Amino acid sequence: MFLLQLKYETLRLMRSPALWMLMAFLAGSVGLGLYNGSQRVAARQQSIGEMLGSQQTSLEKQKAEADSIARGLKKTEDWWLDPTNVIVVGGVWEGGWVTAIDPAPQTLLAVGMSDLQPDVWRLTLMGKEARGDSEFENPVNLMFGTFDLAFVMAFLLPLLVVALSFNLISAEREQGTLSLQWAQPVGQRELFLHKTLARFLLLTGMTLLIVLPALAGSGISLASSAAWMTAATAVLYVFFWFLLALGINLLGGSSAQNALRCMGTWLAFTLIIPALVNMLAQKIYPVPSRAGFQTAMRDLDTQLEANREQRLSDFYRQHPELTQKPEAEKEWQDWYREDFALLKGEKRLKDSLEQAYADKATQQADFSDKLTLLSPALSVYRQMTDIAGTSRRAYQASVTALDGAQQNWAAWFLEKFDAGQSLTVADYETFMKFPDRLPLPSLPAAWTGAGWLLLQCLMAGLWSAARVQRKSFGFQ
Amino acid sequence: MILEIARQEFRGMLREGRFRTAALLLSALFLLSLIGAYDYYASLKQQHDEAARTMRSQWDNQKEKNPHSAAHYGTFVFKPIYPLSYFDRGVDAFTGNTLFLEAHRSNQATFRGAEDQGEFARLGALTPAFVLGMLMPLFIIVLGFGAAAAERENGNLRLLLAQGVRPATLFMGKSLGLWAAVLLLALPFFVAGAVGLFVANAGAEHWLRYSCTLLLYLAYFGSFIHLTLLISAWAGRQNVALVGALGVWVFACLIVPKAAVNMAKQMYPAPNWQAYHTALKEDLENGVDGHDSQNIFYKKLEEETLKKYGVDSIQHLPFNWWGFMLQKGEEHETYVFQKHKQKLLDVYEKQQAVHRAAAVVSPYMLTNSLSQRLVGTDVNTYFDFLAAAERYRIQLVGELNADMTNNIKFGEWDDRGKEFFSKNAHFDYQPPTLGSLLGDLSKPAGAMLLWLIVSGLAAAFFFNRLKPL
Repeated sequence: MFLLQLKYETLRLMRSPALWMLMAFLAGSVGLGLYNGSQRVAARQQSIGEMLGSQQTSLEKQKAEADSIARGLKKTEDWWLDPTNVIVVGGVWEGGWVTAIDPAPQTLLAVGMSDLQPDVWRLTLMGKEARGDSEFENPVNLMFGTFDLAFVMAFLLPLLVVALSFNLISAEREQGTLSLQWAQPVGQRELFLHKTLARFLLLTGMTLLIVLPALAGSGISLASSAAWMTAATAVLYVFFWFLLALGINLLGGSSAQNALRCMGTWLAFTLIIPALVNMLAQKIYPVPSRAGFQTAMRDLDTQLEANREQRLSDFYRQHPELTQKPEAEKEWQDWYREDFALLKGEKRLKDSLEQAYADKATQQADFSDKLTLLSPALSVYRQMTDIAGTSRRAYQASVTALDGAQQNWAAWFLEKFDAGQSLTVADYETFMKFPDRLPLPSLPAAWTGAGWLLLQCLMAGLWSAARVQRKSFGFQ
Repeated sequence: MILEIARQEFRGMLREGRFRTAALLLSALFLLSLIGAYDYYASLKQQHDEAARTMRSQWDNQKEKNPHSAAHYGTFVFKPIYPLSYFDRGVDAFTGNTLFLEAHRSNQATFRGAEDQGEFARLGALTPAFVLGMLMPLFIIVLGFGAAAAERENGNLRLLLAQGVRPATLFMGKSLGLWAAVLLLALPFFVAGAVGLFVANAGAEHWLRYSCTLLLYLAYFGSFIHLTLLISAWAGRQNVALVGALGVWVFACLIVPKAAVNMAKQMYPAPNWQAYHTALKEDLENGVDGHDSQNIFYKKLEEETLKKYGVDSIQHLPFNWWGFMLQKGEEHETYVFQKHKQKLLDVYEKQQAVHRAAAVVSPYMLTNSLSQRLVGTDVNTYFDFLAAAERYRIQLVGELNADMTNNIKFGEWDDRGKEFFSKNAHFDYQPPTLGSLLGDLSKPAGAMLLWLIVSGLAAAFFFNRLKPL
């Protein structure tokens, strides 16, 4: 009987121009979302390529100069322009190693935080410095956000479910065909469930038929975890909304009442709860403005400058093998040796100041994450940004990877500096093999959003089941 | 007759559960948004004001140093927070909060508020403007989708027409009834929304800005009232009218803004980091570098200056050559930075022209940008602040270089202390007044008015074509 019902519903829906309009809308939205994502990733790739290309060209030129100097064909200019100087190449004010977080094919799925955070950094002997195109983003564009697949899934996909299911029974009653339906040799409850299930299967099938080829067309392999995780998230989300629509239909209102209830729920889950969650998180775990951070950092700099001599004395006391030269006798190497000696302690103090803000930001984000349960749209958004590698968590993982890369870079150069060596062509060939593209880090909790969504489906299912179990259907 | 229909419509709405539910929900959200946003911005303003005072004190009390070293030490300015920011946060979370001002470089502002938030922050923030701009139209749709369609479906339309009621009268009555219900909710919101201005003891300028913002929202609500009535009359059936009106809302408030952003970015892409910095470096190298005496432009200027003053060496010039050159280098660098920043601003302006064009199909886009402009959280006011900060940088660095040029002997590097630094220019930014914005505001305000009128005429047209079942 179910198969018959499925066939009947399918035929009925297939003949409905509304269904084709909705599917065309979905296909257009998915296509536009993925197209925008592809354009964004292509632009990022081009930008990264240009930056790394420029670095390569400049280092090749420096290498040739270093070779000429080694062969005695060229005289060393001022030390701060010397391409064999470890400090100049390793990077203090210039030099260093530009490293990018390489966007993966799935980055196109969701913008997330990627248009706000830098994706390219210059690693130096002193730390790292952000680069990347995010500093040139028009604030208005950032405010409105991007039309990406995550937006289509979180916001628009439920509207299709609502459009297909808000009047499952009420339309029949309003058109006067309900009594004909009841004349079928099947229970009212089964009839109703079959009808819902048929529509769910049809919409899910059509969604997958649209999304999967679109993903493949955008360069995401259908065998990749990103593709099937996206598909699984879409199916679960559609399922959630069908369960909810089922319960709302069982409240027994007219088509207009059902539509209002469905839209009210959609509004609450997609717009109001996320906005409330943001407000609550900001209220309970406020992150102070970085204006205070800058003044605190400046105070710290002043303090460090004031006690530099004291810290240097401590350093020389702890290293009796080294002798502190009077200022007048110091060469540039002596100044830098002292800078590097003090750097670790200074960095620890500065990092602790930065960490205080980062911790507050993490607390706020963690709190928002905990409230994911309140809205399936939050679950979907979280899942999609995790798959795309554009979430806050992915960004933090990237920064950790970059910190590791910076430490390796600095250690390699400082070893040479401590040994008083100059850079040779062979050294250039060695350090130019340092990775300049780091892969998008994979996240250990990349299924969390889907986990929340599953739990939300369970809750919606329990609510709808409770309504189905009622003896009398509300629409009778 | 118009009043009678309006009264009937208004009473009918008040009796319905959906008015009470929606009004209650909306009121709760509005109050929450008001408390949350006011609290946040009051704290932000306090932090920025405090940071600005601390930064000035740090400047005044900096370690004794040469004026040009002080120019390298630099200072920070912080984005001002306006009294009405709580009402509409605009682009605030997406613009840098701090700007470092130093010699030779015109930096980009850093630390956008949204960077310290999670990705959910991209899904919107609860502010009074969010409630009025996004949710109020839904309230209007919920109340008005059946205005014409229900009359048609339940047969009242036939009776009304038979009694000689003209479609235009029906439209006016329905519209007035809907206006009454909307105002019943909106007016207390408007009064409550002003509490922040009272608390902040804001001046007349801000009250005037607030009043204009409210007028804008009234026109916006009017447009949605007309659109809802239009769809109700066009659809003729309640279900179709509801789905149609909700579809228009989704299109205008959700899809168009994001699609317009993508279109704008693709039509007018901002330069990437490498392109921007390569062009900048090239231009910087084609001029005086105050720190590089080997630079050909430096040498050329040296020759010209010596000739002009009739001396044979820079030591004999009546001013400190190094201070003079540092300032000449600064002028060249400032010119180059301004040129490239202007190019970037031109790209943004073209992108915003696409956003403005989208207002043809989305009154939300129009209201959103006008509302931000009026409360001062729009991108243009922000750029005005950046431009003022840049002027201040030029003034401050100019003062420091002038002191070196005129008051320090060539070859000496005298230090300056608190007495000197505390007399340096102060940064006192005043945003553009409402009066100065009138020219800019007239076009979008006219467009809003056009939306109101055209949607009203279109609704009246469809009411005219309304046929009983």
